[in-house]
Amino acid sequence: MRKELFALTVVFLIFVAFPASLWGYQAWRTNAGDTRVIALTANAPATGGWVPDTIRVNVGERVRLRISSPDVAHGFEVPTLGIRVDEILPGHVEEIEFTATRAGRFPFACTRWCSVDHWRMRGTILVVDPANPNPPLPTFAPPLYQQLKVDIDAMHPTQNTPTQKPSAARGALLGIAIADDLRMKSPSDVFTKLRADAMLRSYTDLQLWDATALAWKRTAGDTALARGQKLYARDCAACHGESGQGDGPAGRNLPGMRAMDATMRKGPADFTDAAQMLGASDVLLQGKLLRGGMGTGMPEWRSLYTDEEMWNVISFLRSFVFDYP
Amino acid sequence: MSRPNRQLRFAIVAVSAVLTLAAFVAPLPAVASAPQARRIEISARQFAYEPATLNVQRGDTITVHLESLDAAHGLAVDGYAVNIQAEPGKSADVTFVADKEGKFKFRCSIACGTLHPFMIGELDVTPNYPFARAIIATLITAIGAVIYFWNRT
Repeated sequence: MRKELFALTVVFLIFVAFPASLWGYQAWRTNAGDTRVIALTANAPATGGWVPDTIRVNVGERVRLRISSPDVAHGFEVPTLGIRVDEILPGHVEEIEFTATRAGRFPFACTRWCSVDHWRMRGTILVVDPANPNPPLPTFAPPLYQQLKVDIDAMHPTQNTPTQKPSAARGALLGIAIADDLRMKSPSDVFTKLRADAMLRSYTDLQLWDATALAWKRTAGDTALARGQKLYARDCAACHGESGQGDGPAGRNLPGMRAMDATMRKGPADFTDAAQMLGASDVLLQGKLLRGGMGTGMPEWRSLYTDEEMWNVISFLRSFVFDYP
Repeated sequence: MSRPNRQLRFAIVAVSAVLTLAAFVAPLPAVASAPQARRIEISARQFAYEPATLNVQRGDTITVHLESLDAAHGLAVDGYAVNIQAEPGKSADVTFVADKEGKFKFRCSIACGTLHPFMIGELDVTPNYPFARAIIATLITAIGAVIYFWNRT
């Protein structure tokens, strides 16, 4: 009888008490304090992407995300809330806590190449103010390229192509001052204006290009270039290539490639192509980034990049045609 | 059992044991070809390497350039302190000296999906002395065993 009781106790412990204590502990952790715990699973886009892909939280609520991945390494970032987890490895659970202080929609995305469709892996955090659950939709000013009526699909070749890579270091030796607002102008415009200046007749074309390169580097600044380089490596290099030639591995079989105009260059843009890049203003490039690739497979970056990040990347793109020391 | 017979059998065992041991530890002539520096480009995708077999000479300085075509992949060589990871847009390079001869598997070192454990390639460092030594040692042992049992009957 005692043996039977003992056996029953063991069975009870294994099948009832142990699981109950585990579940109880998890439930207690989930509801501990005023932190709401939300499980978020990162799957490659082909097998479901973010689950759930919409997370509803209230303003001021403390939220802890427990992010796990069942397949490959992913990343997680909510740029507009400043939350990021760089590495979510399979078999690990990454936890991150945040409090949303203002209502709105905050997009999040995967930040590591997890599959060919990596860029489709996005979701939204919906922050609701309980007192005002249906606020009017926010209005945005139209982007610069629309305000300035820049046609971002027109070809924009430069009038004059430099014989070699313009160098900011050589430009620094010339002492030519450029006072224009470079954001609206293309390098080609700036060069043309310098060439037309009678005071600068003694300079060669290449020297004027060097001065133009220096102007762009000075406007950008070193911090912006370093940030832009990081973002380029993370988000662009997979298709546009590490050397900017448009030969990245992820850009080889893009969905819209066959449908492209036969006269156009197929595949991702070549940032080392001086003829096209020198004819493009920063605003035009920003338009391309904001809008994305119209079926080519390039994502739109408007929802994920802050304005500053966008200018950082564009500043860095110039380093493919300008020689920055 | 007569005494000389036993002595003879002991001699046979001793000789084949010594020869077997010698096959494993005997010094070998140096490699004929001079070591060279080589760069090998490997592209990784789910779930294979291209090329999957690397043939190198012992003493070569190998630079492996790993490019990934879809997700994050790694390359770790068994028996060498080599482990790199690449993803699209972030290639990785590693330089090492192939100073151990033999066949070594290299594997993906970052979980890259369902068949990740089967993503394997092979580094073949020639001349493959361990293999040749094992063959010779086996043959000597076999011949010794045949002579040994021949004498018993």
